Amino acid sequence: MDDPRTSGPGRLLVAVYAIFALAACSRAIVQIATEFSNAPLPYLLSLLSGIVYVIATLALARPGATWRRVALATCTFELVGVIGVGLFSVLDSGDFPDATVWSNFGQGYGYVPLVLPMIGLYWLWRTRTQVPVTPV
Amino acid sequence: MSSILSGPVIALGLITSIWSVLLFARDRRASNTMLLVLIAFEVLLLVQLIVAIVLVTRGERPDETATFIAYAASELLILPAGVFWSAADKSRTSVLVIFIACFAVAVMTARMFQIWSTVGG
Repeated sequence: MDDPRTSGPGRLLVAVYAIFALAACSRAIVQIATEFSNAPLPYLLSLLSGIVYVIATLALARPGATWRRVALATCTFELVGVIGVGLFSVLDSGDFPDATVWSNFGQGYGYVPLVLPMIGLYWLWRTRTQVPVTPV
Repeated sequence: MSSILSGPVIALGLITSIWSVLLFARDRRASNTMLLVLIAFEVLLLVQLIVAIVLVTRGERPDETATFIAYAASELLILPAGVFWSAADKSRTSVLVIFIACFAVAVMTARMFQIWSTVGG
């Protein structure tokens, strides 16, 4: 089965997501291993964002309606996360050190964490008609 | 100094990035020449990691030593992963995967250079 969602430009999306999965997870592991007691909540959030990136990478890479739903959920989660944490870090910088890929709307990563879920959701929307709808 | 290697790594990362965009614009795939350059690039990244580890064990430590080494080590994974992910796809956009990989290595090395600048400062 050749799903248009997981071929062509969809593979570029997977490549960028994979890099961010690597970046977010390794950052979180370094933070938790070296200075966990400084800010446990942001560092756990950092780890959560990394895990979500890993799941999103897998979901975007695999064909089929189920993986498409997983991709939709993880991309939406990321968009909510980057906007939520972004707003929180701007409004209350004291409690949120520059600790996650989502801080300040992903400024430390060239705002890619903000743009990436938008492109992901756009790609899922654009390839929507190609996937046969299976009634649940 | 690890920063001596940062220049060539960033330059090579940008050159291969531009190269892959040009291939895409001309509707071409990654050539064997490009593959050889990417292998040389990977060897340079390996040298960079070894130099980074040697310097850190000698006691020249930047503020974020763990992040510095993590970057140097993850960079080694990105190019092979990019080449394989690109080669497994026959569509026109596949060469842009190499662009993403090379550009990511350039950006990460720029960040390593920043982190290294805290040594002795």
